[in-house]
Amino acid sequence: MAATELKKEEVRQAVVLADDFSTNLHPMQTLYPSALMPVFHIPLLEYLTETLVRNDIQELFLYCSNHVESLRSYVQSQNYKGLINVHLIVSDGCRSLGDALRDIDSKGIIRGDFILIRGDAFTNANLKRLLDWHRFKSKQDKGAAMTLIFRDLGSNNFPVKENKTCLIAADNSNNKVLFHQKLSEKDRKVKLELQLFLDHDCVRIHSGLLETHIYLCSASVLPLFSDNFDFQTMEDFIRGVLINEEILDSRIYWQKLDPEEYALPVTSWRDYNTLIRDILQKRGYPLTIEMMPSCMYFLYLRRCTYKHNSSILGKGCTLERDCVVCPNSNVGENTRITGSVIGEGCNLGNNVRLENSYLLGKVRIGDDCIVKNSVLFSGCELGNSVEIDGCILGPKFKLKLESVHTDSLMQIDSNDCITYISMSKAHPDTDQELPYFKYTCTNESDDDSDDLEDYSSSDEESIAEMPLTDDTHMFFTEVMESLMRGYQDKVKCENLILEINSSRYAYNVTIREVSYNVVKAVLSLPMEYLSNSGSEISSKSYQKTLKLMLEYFDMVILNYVKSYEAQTDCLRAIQDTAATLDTVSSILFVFKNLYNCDILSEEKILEWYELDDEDNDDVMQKQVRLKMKKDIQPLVRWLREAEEDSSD
Amino acid sequence: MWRQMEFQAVVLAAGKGSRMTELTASRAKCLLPIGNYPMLYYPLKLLARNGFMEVIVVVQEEWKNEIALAIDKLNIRLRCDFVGIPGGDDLGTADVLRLIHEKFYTDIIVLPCDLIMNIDLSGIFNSYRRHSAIIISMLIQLPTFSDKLINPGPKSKPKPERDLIGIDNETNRLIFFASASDFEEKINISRKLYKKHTNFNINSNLLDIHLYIIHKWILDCLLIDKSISSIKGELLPYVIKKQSAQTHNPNKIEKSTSIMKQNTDRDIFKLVTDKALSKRKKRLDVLISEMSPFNDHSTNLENAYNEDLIKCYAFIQNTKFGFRANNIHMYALANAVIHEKWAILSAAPTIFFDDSMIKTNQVENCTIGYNASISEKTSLKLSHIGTSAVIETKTRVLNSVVMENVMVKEGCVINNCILCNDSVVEEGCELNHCIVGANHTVPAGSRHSDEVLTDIGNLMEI
Repeated sequence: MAATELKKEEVRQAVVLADDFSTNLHPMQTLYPSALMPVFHIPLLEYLTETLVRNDIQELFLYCSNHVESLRSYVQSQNYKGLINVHLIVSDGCRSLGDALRDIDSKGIIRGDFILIRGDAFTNANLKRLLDWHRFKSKQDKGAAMTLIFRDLGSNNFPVKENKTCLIAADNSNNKVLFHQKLSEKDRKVKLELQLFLDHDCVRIHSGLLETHIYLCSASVLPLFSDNFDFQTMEDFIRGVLINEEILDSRIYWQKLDPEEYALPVTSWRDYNTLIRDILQKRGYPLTIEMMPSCMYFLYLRRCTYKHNSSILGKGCTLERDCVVCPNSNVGENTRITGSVIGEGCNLGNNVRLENSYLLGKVRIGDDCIVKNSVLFSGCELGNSVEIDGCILGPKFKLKLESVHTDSLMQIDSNDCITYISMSKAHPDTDQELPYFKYTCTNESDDDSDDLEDYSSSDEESIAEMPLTDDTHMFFTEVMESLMRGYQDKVKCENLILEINSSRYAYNVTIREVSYNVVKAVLSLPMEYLSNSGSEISSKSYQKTLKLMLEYFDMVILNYVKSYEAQTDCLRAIQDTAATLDTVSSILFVFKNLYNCDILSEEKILEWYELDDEDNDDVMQKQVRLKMKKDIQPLVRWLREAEEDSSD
Repeated sequence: MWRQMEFQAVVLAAGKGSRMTELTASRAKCLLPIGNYPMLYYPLKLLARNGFMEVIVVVQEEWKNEIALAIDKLNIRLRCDFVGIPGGDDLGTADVLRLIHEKFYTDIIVLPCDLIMNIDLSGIFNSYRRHSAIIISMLIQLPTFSDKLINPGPKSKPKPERDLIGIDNETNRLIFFASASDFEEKINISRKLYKKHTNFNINSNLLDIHLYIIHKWILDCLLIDKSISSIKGELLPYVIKKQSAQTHNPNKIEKSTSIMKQNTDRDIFKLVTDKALSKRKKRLDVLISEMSPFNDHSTNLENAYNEDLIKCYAFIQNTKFGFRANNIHMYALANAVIHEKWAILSAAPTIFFDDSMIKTNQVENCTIGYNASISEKTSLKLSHIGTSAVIETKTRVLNSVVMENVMVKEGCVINNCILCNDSVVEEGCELNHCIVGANHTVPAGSRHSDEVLTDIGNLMEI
């Protein structure tokens, strides 16, 4: 008995889910299972099996739910003899990770501890060490269900980081996970239970962790999935186990990869881009091109460029950096390639410029084309002088001579129709933007302004007692932010109104305060805008921007300045802004525009003008008013004349 | 020879002992005996052992002379400058520093008077110097209570006030500081915090022993911002918060503030820090950090210290023995264990006055004060007998503190009690776990346990 147990212990098993049930890499999932996603000209799975073999994993169970045939033929084509036992588990109609694991449980194949890897993972980690750690832990704690593996990204603003890092709180003494949350850019703070800190002497809070999609599981994980049929994704599982820790008698632990180990799950095009860069720069050593058994005959040229022996480069053709030219490809004369992968059997014409693009095989590109930040699936053809930027071309897509496209997803759908979808709506499930590598470079400036917001906002957060700014002031700041963003991103006015309304209820501001603050915000906005964009702030540029903004926010202002009373507030706002910002010397201009937009009525202006402010004690206020009155005199005169005219 | 010191030491001994009013009703807290020394002896001794020559001791004006006298007797090689502050107002620790600010010419180390421990301060000094910190706080492991020990007075479970202290794992920066009681259920970790410090621990088992090293200009800031009244409760959280509010691009902030018309007085702190730093050392500091390849963190590519000017650090002192005697429980504990700890506290010898007044042999692990008279057939164990105390025959005293001028008459049993000064215990009493207030007389033959016995009038507040 003891001997057989020992033997069972020794077998190291890995389960790889060939599909990740994600559509972020659209339209990749329609062609390949995640595990067969081509990285250069070989599938991702090949890198994974290489790592498994290096770590003495004896058995690999490949769970297939889609594209079963291609997986089967791929596995048959490989020679795993003596390296690893590969078993295919075929199942149809499985739609989530939870389903897959329940299916594996019902088949009763896996008995002991195993490594669960999702098909989109790429890693060179020492799995043996991690598995040993997990086994050690489960000896200490019988309820240890899973060890999560993270890669520490630090606090850098990696492009990879977006939406993918998570924050965990764990017991410092034993690495038990107490809290787990995926971080998104929108989150301002993370809420943790106080009890958590009181129950544990020392809680480690670790953010900037990247999930590697590798999980070390005890045998109890599969039954847990079977018992809780609502666990669909891994997040469900982690959340469920953490909440019902006592009922399920299971605990989750975590481990960090060593700094020199690399792991990156490919969950978006951006990651795909990062992964290829990192492989070329040998971050994934020993998983580099020259080390892979099936990548023989690659020639390493300078600046991280590779060329296969069988491919031909034309005369005067330059591979600038981070390029791979896969077997049997021809590159024409005077073609410049940078940051790109040319798949198997591609043909590039003369004078082509290829930047930051991926040709997944058998792509034909005509002469004088410019291809930037694009992905071309196999069988695409571009005529001569085509220019594309930020496009994804589905398989066998053909572009005619001299066509120009930017930011769109083009493919031939099932009815042989050609579809064009703008990249901002290309996500097949949510109709939102596909996170795409083109935008990585523009991120930095956004982050800066983010930080700025952060500083101000965190002051408002009530960790320590800070003097509370009143709600109205916060409301004003919020309105400023909404309008600013609205103006920059061209958000519809309806949405802005909704946003302002929700802020209004959040800070419990009266309707009169709302109209006052909205007008004040609009008037202050040009200053902010100008100073953000770094232009000079003069009364001329102020007027110009204000005019544009008034036109843009016309609807917003009209919505809040409807009644007679609201106009009073509006005037009060103008007066106050004039007092604080000296650039608003051009009060006349403001009045004229507001009058033209039908925001201020004629009567109201005249009433305001004639209103005596004897009762006002504030000398400053008086001066401002006097000055304003002087400024708008021409308008008033004109209004009076018009009135007389009409009465005549 | 007078020379400029690197640090000035301040012992804050003006506390009223609001957590142990039963004992401090007629006595300055810092004069309560632990062993046969007043409490204040221990921090002073700690400073003396660490090479300090002079110290500022802040005491209440009304007790000033008495304290000075008591300390004088102890023969500590330390020049003490006693500063009296009016006792009437309720002053916080930061208020006190503000009050006596003109005495400071350099960075200060602040100690409470109830700190009973023996450590080498060079660790915290070095850590302060190394990072040119602005404020550094010493933390120790929360002392664990053995259940055996029953404290005198009404039965109550000691509930230590727990602080949540966030310390960056890589740099030891103090980044989060709050009392657990400040929160209801949830604790918010702001995005800025977790983005900047990707790996930190929040400890709930550490005790802030109120030993701080504070940069001179924080004292200057205290003068400007008068709303801060205590170091731990307000100043420390405020400074910690400010260290992340710093930005390396001040222009940007200024721009936005001018437009938003933000409240200006909130930023006084920031202005002062900038000014103070630029005046005193910024130029050299910046120069050094620019030329040095040193970096304190590896999580991102920012410059060392993320270019923060305000830096708070925590120094976790590993010590076998140390606590603050700031409530009755801890005070009783201190007295109970002090007998075993003389060696750790070093230099403090067991003073055993071989006086003719002591006429019994049954004295075990006791400290007996000067001029105490102990009659025949008494048994003393693990107790402290104060000066001029009288213990009459056939009395047993166990685990107790008997302060000055206490009269314990014939045939009493005193177990685990605190008898305050000038109290009298008449014949045949049996007291278990009791506190007898100052000047109180326990009538003959009474039996009490777990009680506070005082004249009601004396106890003003609890």
